Amino acid sequence: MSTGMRIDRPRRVRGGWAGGLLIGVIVVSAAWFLYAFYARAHLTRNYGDDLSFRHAMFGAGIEQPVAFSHRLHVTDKEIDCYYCHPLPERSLNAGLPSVSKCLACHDHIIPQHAEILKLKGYQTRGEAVPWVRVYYNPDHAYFPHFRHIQNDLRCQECHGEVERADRLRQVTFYMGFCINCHKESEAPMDCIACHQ
Amino acid sequence: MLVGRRDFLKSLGILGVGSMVACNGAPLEKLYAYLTPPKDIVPGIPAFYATVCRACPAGCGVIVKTREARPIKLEGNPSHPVNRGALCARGQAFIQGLYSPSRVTEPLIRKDGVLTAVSWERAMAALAELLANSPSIGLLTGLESGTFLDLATEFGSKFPFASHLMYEPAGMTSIAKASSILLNRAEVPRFDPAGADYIVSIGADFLDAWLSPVEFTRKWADAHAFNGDRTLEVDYLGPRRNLTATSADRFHVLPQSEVGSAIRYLLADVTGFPAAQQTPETMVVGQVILERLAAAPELSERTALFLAGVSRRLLAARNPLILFGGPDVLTQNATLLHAATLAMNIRLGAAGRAIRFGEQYAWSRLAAESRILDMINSAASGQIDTLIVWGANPVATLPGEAAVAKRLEEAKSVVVLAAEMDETAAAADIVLPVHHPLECWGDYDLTDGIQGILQPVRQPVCRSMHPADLLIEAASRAGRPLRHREYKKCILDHWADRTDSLNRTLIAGGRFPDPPPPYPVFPLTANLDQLPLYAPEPATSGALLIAPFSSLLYDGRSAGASWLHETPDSLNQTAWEAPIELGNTLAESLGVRTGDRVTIGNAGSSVTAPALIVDDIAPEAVALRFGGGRLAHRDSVPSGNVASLFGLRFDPVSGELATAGHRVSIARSGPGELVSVMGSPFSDGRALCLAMPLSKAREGAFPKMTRHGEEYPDAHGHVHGPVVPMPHEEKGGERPADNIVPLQEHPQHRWGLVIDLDRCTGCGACVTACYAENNIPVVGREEIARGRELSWIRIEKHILKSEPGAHVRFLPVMCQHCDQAPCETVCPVFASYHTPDGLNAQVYNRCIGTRYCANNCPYKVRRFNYFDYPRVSPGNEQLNPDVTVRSRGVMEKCSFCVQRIREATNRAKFERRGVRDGEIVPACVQTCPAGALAFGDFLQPDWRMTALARDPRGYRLLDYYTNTRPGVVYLRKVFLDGEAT
Repeated sequence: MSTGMRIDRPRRVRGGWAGGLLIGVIVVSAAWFLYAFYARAHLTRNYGDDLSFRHAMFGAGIEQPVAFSHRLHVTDKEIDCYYCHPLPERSLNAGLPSVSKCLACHDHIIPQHAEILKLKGYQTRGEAVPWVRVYYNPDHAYFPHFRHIQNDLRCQECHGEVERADRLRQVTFYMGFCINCHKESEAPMDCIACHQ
Repeated sequence: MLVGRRDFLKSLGILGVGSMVACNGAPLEKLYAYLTPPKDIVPGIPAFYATVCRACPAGCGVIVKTREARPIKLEGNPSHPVNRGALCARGQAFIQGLYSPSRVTEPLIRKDGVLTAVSWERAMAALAELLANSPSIGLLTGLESGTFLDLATEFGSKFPFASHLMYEPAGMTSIAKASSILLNRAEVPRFDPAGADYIVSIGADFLDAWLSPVEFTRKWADAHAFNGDRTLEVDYLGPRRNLTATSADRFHVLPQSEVGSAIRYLLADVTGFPAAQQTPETMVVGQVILERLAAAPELSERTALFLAGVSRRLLAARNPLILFGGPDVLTQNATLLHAATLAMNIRLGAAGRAIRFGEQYAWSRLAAESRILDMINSAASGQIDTLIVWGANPVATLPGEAAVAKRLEEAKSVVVLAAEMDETAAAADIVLPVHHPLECWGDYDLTDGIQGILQPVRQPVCRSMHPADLLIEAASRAGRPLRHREYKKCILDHWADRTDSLNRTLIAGGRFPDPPPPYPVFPLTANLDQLPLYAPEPATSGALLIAPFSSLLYDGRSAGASWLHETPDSLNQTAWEAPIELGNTLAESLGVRTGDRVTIGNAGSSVTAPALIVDDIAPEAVALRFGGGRLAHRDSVPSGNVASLFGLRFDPVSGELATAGHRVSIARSGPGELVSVMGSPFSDGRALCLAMPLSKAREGAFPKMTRHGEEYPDAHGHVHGPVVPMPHEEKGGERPADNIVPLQEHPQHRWGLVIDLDRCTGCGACVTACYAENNIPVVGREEIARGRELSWIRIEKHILKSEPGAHVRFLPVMCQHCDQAPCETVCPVFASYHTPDGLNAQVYNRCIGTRYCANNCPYKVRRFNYFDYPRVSPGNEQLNPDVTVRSRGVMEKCSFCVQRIREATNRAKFERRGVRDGEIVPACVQTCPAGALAFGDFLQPDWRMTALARDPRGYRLLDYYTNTRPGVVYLRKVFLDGEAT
């Protein structure tokens, strides 16, 4: 004191730009995450309702190499699911449409559209279209499409209202989703029915 | 720039949030669709193609199961007359050759002594230049037929061509020579044991590795398996116990030195038989051969006693058959001994019936080893300028003394067309990658009545060419184009002439017209002077070397297939080993114990391998099977190639290599380790692998298993009821303590398996099939040595010395799917549980790897994944997509092929009907050559398997000790009692 030494008092924290931003981001992202986790859980159980709201919340689904719209093809043009995905009645997989199947129509319908030209580009290069996978089954689960379709399940009961979406969101199915339905419809509840 | 603590933290926070926002939990997988979908590939649905197995020259038909254009499993072609749906272990593992890591992936040309990769363009240019400028070209291939022979002939006509020889080890050329001398037909006859009531085999391991083992096993099992009665007896004489010896009714250890004398003994007796077939010629033939055999040494008393019995039974039998051959007994006297055997068979009426001539048997086209060696020597001496080799591996299978590798190095240019890298390819100047037979168009005419067609079952795995297309291309580049531009077209043209519908032929896997009536057999005396005199074995010192073909590795050509090393040899119970087998006395005199490293050798070379002391082997003899010391898996199988110990000894008449009679010195070289999967072969008084005498079985006196052991019906002839209760007949245990766990209820199905021990030969096909079907990883030598094998089935070897018959028995053990399974009660997470249809299921997702279940399983059938076992690309393409690939820390075990059960029940549900008998066929049941296994539903009384389960021979393994109530029923082996010799 008397020596004239100066002691720095701790300065009051003034809300700097970074602090404010940090807090704001944390709050917003926490809310976003909470909702996202809730929505995801919700989504896997009752997928199909309220798509428009979630789309508004999360933006559109995943971007695909060619901007394909299920809404346009299924709702507006009234094309049956099985026309493009021909296998679910008899195979494990639903099957993806081949590029030649797309072009069977699009050689005549809007053949000069930018997205169709993209598709044609894949064909001329002899390159497979790298579609991004949307629906995921966890490991060690055996899911045969045909057993479900043969039992007259509609595609929408698992895949949601695909016909209302332009871009599809990524979905992972969890066991609770399967089990609920298996319980209700008295389908096999045996573990190795799925985990063979 | 100075960054303060606070600024640092601030930016860290922002960065952290930013990075979290950028996160997306879901993985991004890609889905690729076809540009234009191929017609026969439907994702998720298997496609099947018929072709021919080329793992040995037997020519079994196979159906290849493909998923998404990838072959994943081979199964026997049910309509093929050779194998009727079954397949041996080698056949099951044939698919591994396609995905082998030792595939040659690019053309190699020797530069400065080293094989160097070059482009196809350069390799083809080099080959074309060789062909254009060579004054003499030789072609050496494996056994081929039909179209390829025509092509080779055309190729030969365009170039200065020396010859085209076809080579198979143990190629039976001395049988062809013997029949040319006796019958004036230079061909290998086709053997058909069906209908025989007594078979004597001298050295011929016909249930395992001789000629056509799958076919022989089926015919043997159909006649020999107990089914109210038994119509066939088999005696086996040979220097070493093999699978045929083990399944035979009587087995006599016949030293190699006594083989000639034994045949002389039998011939002398048989020639004197009174019989309708007696003609002056047969008498003369018999007498002449007997004179030639005069120099054969005296028989030991034991052998003479055994042969007296054989001769008695030959006389009494209605349809006897004598088989002789196999690498164990082929000496320099091969042709003479084959002639003697043929003379006996003619005399006994077997020739013309069970031994048929005039069917154009493929084996007849083979060249003897001495001719192959002549060809290689002329290449070395420059008489043949360019030697082209395909489908043969003379470096590994011809005698070490011939130094084939060195000869090939001396040769001007050796071109090897190789699918996999082998010893011959390693010695070549140019190595060109060619298709595996599963990628090839081709044909294989086994006989006139069995014409198989090969079709490619996938796109080539690597950038290889069809060997025939390669010859066509090279000829065209050399300026001498052949008539055909493409081999596929040759095949299709060839077959279009043969059949009216090519498509139906491809679906059937070939064409199987009725064979011509057997060519009548008239022995001739004109050529008898071609028969040599018996050449006695030189009296040199050392142990006699036995070099058998084994069930798993045959001559070693499948050494690249890891399943065949991983599947234990049933007799020796060793995996990843080619041990040196020796008898007790010899081992004692050398101070060798099982596992010690032993060196056997001669002046030129030696082989060091772990010793295995076995009971039934000729004294003063050592055995080392073919297949060790090969380039593929050389590091994993610490042994040597037995052919390297052979001297240049050929049968002088036929030129066939003598694989028996070589002498080797033997010495202990130090301690070592033998990888064995067997704990103990002894049951220590427990009733595990059961058998019963034929006399009792014929009377209908079947034993019942009680807590006190086996009990036969009492003196009043009281026969007990069904031994094994069906699940709905279960009454609970005798003591209250047995009923702690309530009985299972099976509302719809109770799947189960019946295993007839009287049919099982221990060949190991089921084990290998299980590897193929269920994605079982190969763990390798080290892990097996630690007891960590993962096979879901094992063939246990049981030795029961105290019992009167069938001392050595095999017991296939897989998960027994117990109703009161000890494993289920101890699992803390319910990963092991009982399904309503009677399966003991293992849920991999739930398993946390406590291994309590394995400890509590009395059958030791639960296997634990200690590691993630990598599958070398492209081997992963073989994986069955319907079966989970298990990861580290998970318990696994036999699931009764639940994926196949599921497939059949799904199909039945779709068609709104019940599952039919025979619709569900697990992989082991499907492949069994003897038909020893049957799968079915215990609740369906009219199914075949249920009828079998009610066989009074039935018992359940360990049930009377542990009250586990297994879903697997074993049927006792039936052994021949009474006449011991």
